[in-house]
Amino acid sequence: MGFISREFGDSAVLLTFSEEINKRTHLEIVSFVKALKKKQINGIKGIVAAYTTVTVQYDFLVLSYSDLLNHLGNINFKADEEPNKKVIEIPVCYDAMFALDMEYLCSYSGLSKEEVIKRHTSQEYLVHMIGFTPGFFYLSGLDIKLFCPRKETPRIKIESGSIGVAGYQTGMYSIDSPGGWQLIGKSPMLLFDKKNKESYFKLRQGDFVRFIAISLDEFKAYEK
Amino acid sequence: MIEVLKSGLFSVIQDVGRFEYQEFGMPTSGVLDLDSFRLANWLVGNITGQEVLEVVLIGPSLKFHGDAFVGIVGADMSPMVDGVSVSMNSTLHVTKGAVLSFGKLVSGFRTYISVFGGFGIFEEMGSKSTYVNAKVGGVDGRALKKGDFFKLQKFKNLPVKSIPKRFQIQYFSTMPIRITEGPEFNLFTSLEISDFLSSEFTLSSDINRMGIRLEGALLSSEKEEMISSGIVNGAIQVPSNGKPIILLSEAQTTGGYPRIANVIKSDLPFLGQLAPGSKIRFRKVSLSEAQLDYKNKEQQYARLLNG
Repeated sequence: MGFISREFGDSAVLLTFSEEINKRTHLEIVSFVKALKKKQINGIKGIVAAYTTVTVQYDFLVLSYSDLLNHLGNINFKADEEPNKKVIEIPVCYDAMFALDMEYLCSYSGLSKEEVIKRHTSQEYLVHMIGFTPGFFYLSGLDIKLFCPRKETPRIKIESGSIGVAGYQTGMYSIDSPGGWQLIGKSPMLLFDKKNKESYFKLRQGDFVRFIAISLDEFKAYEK
Repeated sequence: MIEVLKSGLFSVIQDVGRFEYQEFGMPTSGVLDLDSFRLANWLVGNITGQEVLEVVLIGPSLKFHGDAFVGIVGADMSPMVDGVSVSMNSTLHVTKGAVLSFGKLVSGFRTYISVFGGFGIFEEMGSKSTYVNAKVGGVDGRALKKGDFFKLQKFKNLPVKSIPKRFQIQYFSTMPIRITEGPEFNLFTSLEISDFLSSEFTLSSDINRMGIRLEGALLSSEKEEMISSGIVNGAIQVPSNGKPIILLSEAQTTGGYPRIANVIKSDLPFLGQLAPGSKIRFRKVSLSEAQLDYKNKEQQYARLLNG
């Protein structure tokens, strides 16, 4: 267990925990970041944890590179499961109004719409990392029968809340943005809400996600 | 009060940015040219981090409904008050009823406009910086538009200051940008690295607050696809088309392209002043050179700003 560190410009260090995505690496990273934050090291300005890496930004006028590496080397962490696992339920309306690419996915997978929804909602997905846009999460655990390629031409604007699949991934657009995923539904829930001062973001790395199918009426009621 | 008569191309309120939400996928945002920003604030006696207006290529027209002291630093966009040229880099007294406007872009790309006491903007998520994509900060999370108003601080007389010549950057092309090796530097062949370090690159027209695309030598040998990982301001990534992209303060927080180099902290402000068509070269320095250079630079700035 451990990581290798590499200079990442004059104001950051890149810590690589593994060369491949796996559960153990993920747990190590979650544990490491938690312990690192707890230490509140003066001079650390930002932490971005990803699948296999942690990027730590620092102010070298306050904290030297070698002192930073010493601090990082002394962080205790282990690949333990979180004792109180957090599962966030995300309501999704799979109505044709939002599921613009459901027909494509059905014909690509050979599954009926009902079967797609059943498989999509039956998994508990791990939030491997957060990135791309505010609140956007990268999940693992998609049913392999739901595999499909991205759209050849990405859409210019996808509304926030839209749920898509692409490759072995599924996810939810957190703000209006361009994107190439095949859309199969939409959630009325906000992943990022600047007005919610208690917590601007719905979930963090290490949480789990479960999609819950809702009707169009329920979707409209939720939005109000 | 300041009234926006014309918005300009893309005028946004910015401060140093918001750093605490990067782990949630939120870019820091913040001024691209930190040096012009702090000099503009110094001219009008503001604290260093006061919000300013960052304007690009085509400046706005601003009507002052009260007297104000203003600082204009950065790109030379031919500033005028009531149609008469005024000088940049000095404290400027704009009188009640006057209109500050801009003309032709002469040099650089982004101009920073400060007013004494700031623009009366409230912080959102710990910063006043505008991040348009998520509609956060600044004026309703968007760029200025015609009809916007800013509340001015009560007028008081300020000493007129001028920025010493040595702090006034002359923006010219082919200025070398200093870099350190990026984390994936060794994924590139020695030929690609020598191309990267010896070629002149031209800025494409595809420039925004997220990044700068470069045209020039292609660094296109097949790379293994990378697992997405964190990004920092000034990182130079090379997508599969072989054309490098320099990432700026509004870039997404993670990416999957190999990072050949990083622009050093001392030279980051200069990136905000590069216009489409500008030519640049890279020069490699070591980590300790980069950090020492910045320490020296900061000492000079500290003497001016706190002096």
